[in-house]
Amino acid sequence: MRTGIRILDDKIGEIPGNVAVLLSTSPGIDPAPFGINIMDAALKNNLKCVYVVNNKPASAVRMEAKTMGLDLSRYEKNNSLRIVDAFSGYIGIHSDEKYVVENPFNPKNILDEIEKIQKNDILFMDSVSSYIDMKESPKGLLEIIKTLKKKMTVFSLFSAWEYEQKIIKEIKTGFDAVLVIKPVEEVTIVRQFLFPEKIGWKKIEKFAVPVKVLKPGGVKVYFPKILVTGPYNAGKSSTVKALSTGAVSVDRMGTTVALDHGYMDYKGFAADIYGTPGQESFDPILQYLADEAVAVILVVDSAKPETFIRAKEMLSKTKAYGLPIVVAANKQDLRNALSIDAIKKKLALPRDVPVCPTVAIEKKGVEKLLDELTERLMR
Amino acid sequence: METKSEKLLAELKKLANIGNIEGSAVVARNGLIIASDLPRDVDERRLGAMSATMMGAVETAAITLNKGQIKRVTAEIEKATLVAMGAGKKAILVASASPDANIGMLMVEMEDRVKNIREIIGV
Ligand SMILES: Nc1nc2c(ncn2[C@@H]2O[C@H](COP(=O)(O)OP(=O)(O)OP(=O)(O)O)[C@@H](O)[C@H]2O)c(=O)[nH]1
Ligand SMILES: [Mg+2]
Repeated sequence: MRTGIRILDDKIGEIPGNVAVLLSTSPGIDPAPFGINIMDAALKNNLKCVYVVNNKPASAVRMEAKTMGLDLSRYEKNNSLRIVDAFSGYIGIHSDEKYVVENPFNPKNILDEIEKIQKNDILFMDSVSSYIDMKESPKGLLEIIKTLKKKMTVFSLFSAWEYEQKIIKEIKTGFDAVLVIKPVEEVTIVRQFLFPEKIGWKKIEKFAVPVKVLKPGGVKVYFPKILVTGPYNAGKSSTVKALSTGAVSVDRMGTTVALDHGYMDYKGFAADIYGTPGQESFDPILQYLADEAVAVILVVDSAKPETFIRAKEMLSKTKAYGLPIVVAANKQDLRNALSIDAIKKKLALPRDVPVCPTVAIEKKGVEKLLDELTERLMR
Repeated sequence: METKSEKLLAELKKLANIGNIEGSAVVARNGLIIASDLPRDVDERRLGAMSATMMGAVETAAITLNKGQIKRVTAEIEKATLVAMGAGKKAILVASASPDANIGMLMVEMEDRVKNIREIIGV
């Protein structure tokens, strides 16, 4: 199986059966959306899942999935997903759920309820934290996981509240893989990153995946700002529109006077797109628009090589050098458009900067452009 | 242990208790949202991008006029009053109030919050 989270999947590959994975989040980050998203990816791949929940009603899991834009009901209907209520028993209320752990304080009881369900591929446990809160020691739970992973893959969710280091360590040793999600303070904003702390089945180099739970949208590899810039009239606003689901341009009399803003959602990647004006009189606001961008798309008019100097000036004004840059050689439909080779030569950017032919108003070449961009964002 | 975002959110919640304020956000001057307390149906990322650009443009206009620093930007909208003011070097505070809001009161409150926000952000 795969997690459905890009970069992570690309690096750790297929998750083997019979392993236990711990999904650990810092306080303030709810691990449930990550668990639900991974489960949704598994269900889409026709795997059978069980979701044991002990810290909220089963209906809250369905609701959470819904706000993420995921519909679990069809999987529950065809029995590929079973949600097991281990919460009602914990707080002592009646449950109308089909699958209920009467006494979640007893690990044997949890195990029995899960084993009653025949043929499972993946088990999700939400959450280890609540179990420790009620039992004080993770021992019982770790025992169950050991038994269960002989038959299936286990994902356990864990919000690492201020537990003793000893307990956290004990929990982690019970798992074959540990994925940690924590906030990282950047210049101004706080981003969430997923770090694989341990991958038992594969030797991997350290890496971090920027993630965000979009509602709707689910878990995406997320970049807060990708900049689209380039000379006047090159087709920046048209490119932002072509790249985005829902874009606005603050254009007056056919030219951008403030910015373009759109949302990109492509093959598991999501980003906010900021497009700049092209006219020099707007250059003073470039600094705000460009600040903290993680990558730059430079749009040029393929038929106007005389504007390439301005294009490069905009790259330096937006401090793009050092960031991943991809070039959209736009208006390739014009009769006098230069060839890609000729544009490369005239632009004379570093050799690893790709130049992609596009016709923004027809959304042509956009996928290739995004492939080149996302490939660079993965490095 | 409160994180920076939690502290900022607490400041915004204080604003929410003031009559007529319908939503507010701390936005980086580059448009990215640092913290927000906005109605669900408001696209906060877009509002952030637009407010920061608006602030940047007005600031540039002020420099062009040679008349010193900008204090705040107020936009009177049909069904809202939108106010943005600088909160240190890196951020701005944006608030949306109902059109009948007492602007004077609003400013005083926002300025109080700005002091704390600057401290929390650190510049
Ligand atoms: N033939 C052709 N025309 C295009 C293409 N892309 C954009 N245009 C046209 O070029 C003009 C400018 O497009 P915009 O997307 O507004 O360009 P811009 O770079 O945002 O312009 P500024 O914001 O004013 O700098 C419009 O008339 C578009 O319809 C293209 O691929 N082919
Ligand atoms: Mg434009």
